[in-house]
Amino acid sequence: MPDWAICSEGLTRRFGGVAAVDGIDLRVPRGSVFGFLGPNGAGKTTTIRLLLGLLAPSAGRITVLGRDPIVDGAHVRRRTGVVLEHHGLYEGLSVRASLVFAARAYGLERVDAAARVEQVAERLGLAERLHARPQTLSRGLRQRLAIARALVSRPELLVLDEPTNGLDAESAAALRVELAELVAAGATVFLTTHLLAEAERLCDVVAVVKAGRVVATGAPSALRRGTTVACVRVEGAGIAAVAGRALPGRGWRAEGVDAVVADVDGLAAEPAVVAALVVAGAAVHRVEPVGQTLEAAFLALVGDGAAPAAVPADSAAEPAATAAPAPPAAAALP
Amino acid sequence: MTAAPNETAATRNEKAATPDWRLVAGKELGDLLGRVGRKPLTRTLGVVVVFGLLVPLRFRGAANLPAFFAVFMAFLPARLVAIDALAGERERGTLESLLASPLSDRGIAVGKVAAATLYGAVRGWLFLAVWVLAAALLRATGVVADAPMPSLGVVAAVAAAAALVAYAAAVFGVWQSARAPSVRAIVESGGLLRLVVVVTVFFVGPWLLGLLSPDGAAPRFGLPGSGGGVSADVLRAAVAARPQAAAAVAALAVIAGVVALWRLNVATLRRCRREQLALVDVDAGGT
Repeated sequence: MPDWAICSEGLTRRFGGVAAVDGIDLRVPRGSVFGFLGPNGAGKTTTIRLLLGLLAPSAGRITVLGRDPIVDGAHVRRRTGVVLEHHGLYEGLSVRASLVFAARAYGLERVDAAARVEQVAERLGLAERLHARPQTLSRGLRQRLAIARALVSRPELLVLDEPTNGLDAESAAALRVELAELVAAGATVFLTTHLLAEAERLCDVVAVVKAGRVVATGAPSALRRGTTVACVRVEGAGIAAVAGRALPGRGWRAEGVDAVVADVDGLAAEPAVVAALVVAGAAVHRVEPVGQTLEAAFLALVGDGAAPAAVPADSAAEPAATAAPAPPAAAALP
Repeated sequence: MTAAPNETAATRNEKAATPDWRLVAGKELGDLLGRVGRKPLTRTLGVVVVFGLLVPLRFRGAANLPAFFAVFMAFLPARLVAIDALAGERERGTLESLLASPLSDRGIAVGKVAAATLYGAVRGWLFLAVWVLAAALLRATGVVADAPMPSLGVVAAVAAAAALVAYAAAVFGVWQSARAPSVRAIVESGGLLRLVVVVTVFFVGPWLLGLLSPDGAAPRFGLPGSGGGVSADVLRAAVAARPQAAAAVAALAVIAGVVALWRLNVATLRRCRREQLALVDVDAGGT
């Protein structure tokens, strides 16, 4: 049986008559980086509150690190580091005092807390600013402090709400390294972000949430390729010359004389495009799906009128890093 | 045995060596002092100079006024810190991070009450200490030979009263703070409370003393030292005239106070449950 860091079934949270989270099924494998993507008001923050045990579900159930966060919240929170969108930094405490408080709150003894604080501060470039107060730090440094506070306890599960917001490239790279090390050591990362390129770079699996419901879940590459119209780039000597004859009624453009990019109505149509070009006499030697960006896929999924519905499955063999079971309202991508 | 620095959260001991409430209280005081700086000390000194020395020297009958202000100096800071304890954190966006930590609900509530109590009590004690030292100095140097000097018993009683009042103010303040979206909301909703305090201190108290006084004549309303109000003489006369009734009233007041404080404690702990606090955050549209 798979070992899930987070597992929810029909997770629902209503406020009055409004369902902020509406029947979410999540399977987050241990040791993975899981991206939770959605527009404002989609239910991301409420989901984070549910998995931290700050709110109880109205219906459904959730386990985090094998425990119910409402029944056994202290156990869950002790093993979970959190960076919220609003960092929640204490303006009156120095960087060192903030980190020591976080470390001790998570059960480190005074001496160990001090050592770990030095370690994390060094890693995240805060070593020179340990005596500074948060209000004297730049936005990027404040973000690093929030991240350092979450990392100081070496959590098994790291929940990050927009973690790279405000980080410069260097800090973002340092964060990626830190996350990679945490994951290599067996930790799980659950992050929300609106920086889809960041999600694509960091995440093994993403779930797209809209109006409290998961509308798609899978590997970013699969998600990118499995939605709306995509393109295929076909290379072959003089292929542009035969494309007009081979692809009647299909959008295409030439890239020089030896390559064309053709629209395909879902990647299931990709073999038909290649076959038509070959029949027309093209010597095809390279076929490359030209995926749309994850951002385009995301917008297609959450855009106006996009109801929670099945996403066209991709027949191309793009292995998902982790196979999350398909929730009822969402389509599992390969 | 202490935890190794590279130990993970999974292997760490469930039970931290330091109780949660002490960690929270330490954080509260550190954050508070970091934010307000030296202002409390200078303000305390200013109040001591005005109300602890100048007023009693100008109005010789107001020898007990510094004692009253020592208690008030404990009450006010404790209340201000307590109403900021949760509502202020909510406003500054730090509460949700605190709730997301493994600190227990009880530890958070008790730590905040303890911090507010300690801060208020220390401010009251500081006032008391400066008052006594200044009075002793004035007497010793002969500058004011009859500067009002409290006895050791009065100092001890005022110190205890300051701590108790600070504690009551802290519990009540945290109770209010747990449900409020902001500190301002508490202040704005405090009109009725202020009315109750004023009526009790300046009207009900003197009226009760009047009932107990030998000739049945209620003293005039007003601050001690201004010719009326709750003066030690009135109290002594009332107790001497009807000692049993006074003892019964005192016992009833103590019992009522203890019961009220106990119930307030329980209500505060109940209000400080995580989900309750998080729901106020959601309603306030906070973090």
